[in-house]
Amino acid sequence: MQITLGRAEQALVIAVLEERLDAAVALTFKDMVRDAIAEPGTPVILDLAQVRFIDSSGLGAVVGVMKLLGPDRPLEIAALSESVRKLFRLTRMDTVFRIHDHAPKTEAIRAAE
Amino acid sequence: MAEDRQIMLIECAGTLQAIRKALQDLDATLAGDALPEGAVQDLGLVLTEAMTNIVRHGYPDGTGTISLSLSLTPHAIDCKIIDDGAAFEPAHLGHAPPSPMDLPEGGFGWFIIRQLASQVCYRREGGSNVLRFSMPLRELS
Repeated sequence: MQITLGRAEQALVIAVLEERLDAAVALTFKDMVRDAIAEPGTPVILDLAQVRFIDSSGLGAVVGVMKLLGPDRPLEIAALSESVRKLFRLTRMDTVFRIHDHAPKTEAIRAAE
Repeated sequence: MAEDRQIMLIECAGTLQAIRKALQDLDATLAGDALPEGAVQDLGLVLTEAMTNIVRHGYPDGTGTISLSLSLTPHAIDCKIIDDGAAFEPAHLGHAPPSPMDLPEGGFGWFIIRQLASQVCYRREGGSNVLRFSMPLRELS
């Protein structure tokens, strides 16, 4: 799995370059994002434009990242595909996250894998 | 009158990596089948949730096989998943979603299955778990 880190004004933007965020990669994803959020910036925006599929384990990992960040550093979600948006709606997790239609333009910081 | 029916059989090892590979391959296969996109996505999600549960609860030591059969009719995809793991009882699972305000990191699997699939039926047959359900073939709004 690969992620890239970028900055958009105060925000830290983490783009997930993985088509399928499922149970097989959920822990790896959470570990990588845990390392990434050592980088300063708030809010943290998860850019999911490349993600075509998320299962409940992937969703759980996203929620886990939100908890790692704590109440003072919100996690926001951007660029959901139709099927990923449907999962957020079905589980009502769309009520928990601020969801953007598009990720903001960023200055690249670095990539990680 | 014989119904137009296409059968697909898939066997995979009872590991998360094997499920991932099998369902990626299935996605690619079904993409050429002119099925409604929403239905194929729902099928992929329900199969992922059901098979992940089997690996986590039925095959905790990482050995075992999962057999999946799909029967495509003009109206639905009828699914049967068989494993030889420990027996389980899903009757009480998934009738209500975890509360979003509790920030749940799991517990959605059976809720998703029941929301998206119809005619969900579990039986212990011989030494095997047999889970049957049907995915309606309609374009979801």
